[in-house]
Amino acid sequence: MNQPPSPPSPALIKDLATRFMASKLLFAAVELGLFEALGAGASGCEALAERLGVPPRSVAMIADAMTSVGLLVREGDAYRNSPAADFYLAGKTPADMRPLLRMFERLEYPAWQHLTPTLRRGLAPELNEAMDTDTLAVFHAGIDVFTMSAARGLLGTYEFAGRRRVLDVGGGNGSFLRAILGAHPHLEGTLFELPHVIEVATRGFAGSPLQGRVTLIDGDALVDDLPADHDLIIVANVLHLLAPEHIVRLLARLRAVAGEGSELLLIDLWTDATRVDPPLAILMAGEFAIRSNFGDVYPADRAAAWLAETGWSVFDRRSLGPPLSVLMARPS
Amino acid sequence: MSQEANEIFQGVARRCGLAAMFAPGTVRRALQQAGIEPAAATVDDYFTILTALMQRISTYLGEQEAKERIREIRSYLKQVRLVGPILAEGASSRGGA
Repeated sequence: MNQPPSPPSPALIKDLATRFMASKLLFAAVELGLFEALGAGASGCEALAERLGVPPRSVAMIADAMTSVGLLVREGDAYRNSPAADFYLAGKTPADMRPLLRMFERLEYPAWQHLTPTLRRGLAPELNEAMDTDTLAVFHAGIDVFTMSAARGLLGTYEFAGRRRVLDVGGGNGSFLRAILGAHPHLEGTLFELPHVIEVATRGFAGSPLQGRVTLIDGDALVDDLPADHDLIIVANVLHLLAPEHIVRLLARLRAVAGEGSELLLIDLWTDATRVDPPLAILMAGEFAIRSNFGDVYPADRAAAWLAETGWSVFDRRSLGPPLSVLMARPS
Repeated sequence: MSQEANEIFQGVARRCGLAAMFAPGTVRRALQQAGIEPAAATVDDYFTILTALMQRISTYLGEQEAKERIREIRSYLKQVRLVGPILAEGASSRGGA
């Protein structure tokens, strides 16, 4: 008599279903200041509890959890930061990732609790927090960290030397523009964003050495006049918030203000044709469902078709470090 | 922005049919275009920008949906005139995004 086939392993499902616990404990560790506290050196549970102002039982729970995922190292009764935690989470280097984790803890985690009804309705939930300028600052500080490596990647990927004026459309608080102008002193830049975001960007550029080289203009890129006289246009992490018809409209409007020598850089979570790779890109689709009534992640070849339809021709595509990549286009 | 001005602003933004990432900027832009400072906008000010606001949101929503949203906003603003923004929030129906 044949044995029934053994059932497939549930390990993947268990693993996926419980990953949120590790994420949430990491966010809590950052909020409590665990990695900063260990930035000065190894410490035991009692001393950490006193420094963080939380009960020793809580410290043991979170420190042991961070040890189990590899962000802390246990040495006898003491804990110390792993090299990655010390570099990115202790507030000791410019590569500080805590703003990203704060954004996840304060904004994204609560927002994702709306995911199921959002997908059911097909409409973004009402998230009043996006209307508050201080909260927007938390959001954009997190996005800055998320895009920091891509901004650096762009500096090594695209030849800025022949450009003169950069227009960043929908660039949030200007993280890409800040990186580009910082690395290329001959460039001037314009940030075009919705007024409530320009307010955040204005704070960010105030007192910055770049302030004199940046113009901040508020407006809606689908409705208001776009600034002309720029020979490089950047649209970074905007198109995933829009529907295809909006994207075509935006690309056509950009083409209308682009001179013949201009170039356009579309930085986004471009996927392969099957929308499976890079994996993080397609997971991010949940974020766009929550943040926009129209957003999605799109395959790069679809974007190339939209560009062709609106008078642009793609001349290159480069990875900026997964999940982001850049499509480079010129007027056709 | 005063609490009342903020309540009205958010009441309009929530009803405009756009997600929270776009709605405040869209309403603010419509006010500014009419020369109205959002922090000081009154109910009457919002009535004056309804056509401009409809044009803006119809870019995203299409004309029919935009008209429906503007009808909701008009109804809300009428309630605000009658009972103030806090009571109007409960009295005026709200849907969509």
